[in-house]
Amino acid sequence: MVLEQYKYTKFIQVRIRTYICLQMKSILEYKFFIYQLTRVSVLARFKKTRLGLFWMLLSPVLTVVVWVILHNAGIFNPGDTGLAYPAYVLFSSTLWIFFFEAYKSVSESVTYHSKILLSHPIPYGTVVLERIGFHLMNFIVPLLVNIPVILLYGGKLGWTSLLFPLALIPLLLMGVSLGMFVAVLKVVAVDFSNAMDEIIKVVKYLTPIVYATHADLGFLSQIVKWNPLTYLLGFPRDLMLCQGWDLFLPFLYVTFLVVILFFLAWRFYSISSPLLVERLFGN
Amino acid sequence: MERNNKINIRVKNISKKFCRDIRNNLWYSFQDVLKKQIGISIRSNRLRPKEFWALKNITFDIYGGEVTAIIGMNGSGKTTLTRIMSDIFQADQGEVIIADKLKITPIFALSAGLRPLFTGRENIFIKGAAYGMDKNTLENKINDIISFSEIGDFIDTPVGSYSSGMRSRLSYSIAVATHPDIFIIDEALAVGDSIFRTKCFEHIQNMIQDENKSVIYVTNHIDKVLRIAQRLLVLDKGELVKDTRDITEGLLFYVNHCFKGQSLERKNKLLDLVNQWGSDE
Repeated sequence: MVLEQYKYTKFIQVRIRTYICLQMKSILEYKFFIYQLTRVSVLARFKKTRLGLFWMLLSPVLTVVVWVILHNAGIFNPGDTGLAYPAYVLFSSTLWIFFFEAYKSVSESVTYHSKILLSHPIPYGTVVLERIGFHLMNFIVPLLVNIPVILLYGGKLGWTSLLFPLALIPLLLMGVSLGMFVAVLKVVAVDFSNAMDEIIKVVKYLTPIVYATHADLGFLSQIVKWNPLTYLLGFPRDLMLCQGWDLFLPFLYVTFLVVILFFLAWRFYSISSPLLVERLFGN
Repeated sequence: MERNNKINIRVKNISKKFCRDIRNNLWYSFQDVLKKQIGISIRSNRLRPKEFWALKNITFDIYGGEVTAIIGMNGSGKTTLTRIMSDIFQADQGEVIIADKLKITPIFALSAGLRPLFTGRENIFIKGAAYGMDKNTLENKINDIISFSEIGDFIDTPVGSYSSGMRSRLSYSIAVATHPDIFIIDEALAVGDSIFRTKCFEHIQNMIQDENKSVIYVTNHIDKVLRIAQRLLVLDKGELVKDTRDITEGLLFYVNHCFKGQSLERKNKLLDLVNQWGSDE
């Protein structure tokens, strides 16, 4: 029999749009794999430690301790936070960690799963979704801890609090988008990815986490105003704490930009990812 | 190497280049990523400084109903070739054409994907999922996998406590459960006990009784090629230097051609092994 009598699939370059669609389709076929990887990552984290969940709470609690000390010492005036300062800082820090960990987890997706990518022809999107799933599972416990703390410090929750999870999606997308760009750069341009890590650490101080959104910060106020994270983080926080809809409009504008950024990042990641595996040897 | 059986894979003028220097490699990768983003093709037949051809203009067909062994010294390009055939690496030149709806299962490093903190049973689901199997399929096959692997009661013990042979047995059994049409085995049977290896070879021989199925066996062990292959491809420095169904002749060529500069004693030992097997046959 000859070759032409059969239908054949070619492993050659196809149009970019077709390629991205094929990637999306094959990701759906691997949904059980994504579930398994996520489950394994979450469970593995706690298998070797006796303190388990404690480590997830440590970072926000330490942030609270440091800033409460600075605040009580009169070194720092956070402005009107609308809630007792410790609860405000704890909650805001949790939201920052939600963003930062989404970025960090996704940025490590390729290097973290390098062995499996080198030995199985799995779609690259699966490892991004696993990292998102892992991150969301990790976030649930610190978030739940925040609720009694807010109530303990006299904060109130209302019907807008129910919208809080929805309002978090753009913040997640922002972290994931930056993470997808950096996941590629981490393999092929390490300097860029290191620079990005450092920039994000600096941006933390330009985002209203330890101070109120409208705090008077002198010349920094303008930078805070132009920082998209001010709204991506501030609006969900306001919803949760029933502090009004002041940030809604800028939040909507920024969300629109984040959605565009996400599609650009997905495209960048999908097109670049097949080049990454063979470079993993050099890393 | 024409044959009457169905062609399952056609490898056509495949070339692949790598870079010897890490800094250059990263810089070229960065350039390639940017080029791909703006739609410029990165498939080129020109080498940049410090690049070399890991594979050069490889062409052959893989037919159903036979085991094709790919043999070559370390660094000859065997694994790169099978990674391209498995769609893990992309070729710089040429194309791989796979018969439609055929399932390819490649096994490279057998332990890759196994999680040491989890039991053998849990790992069946983890690694099975990496091969694209869903929950129901794995639940239906789990007893067959456990039975084939001969792990016994250790199946509920963390894989971290397994010997390398046990890990290989478990991994191989999971790969077998995918029931592939094209089974690519890259040095995967180099470990494990001889009884299990024999069982694997028998399984491979049974598999190719079906004329639609192919096995590609990558190794640099002459005895294993003699044992299971019906066809031999010899790779040397990224080039296909021999394609034959006369396994003894192919191996004699391999030893004479690829072992230039090696010690005469080692070369003669290998030639004796091939000749002895040839006369036994």
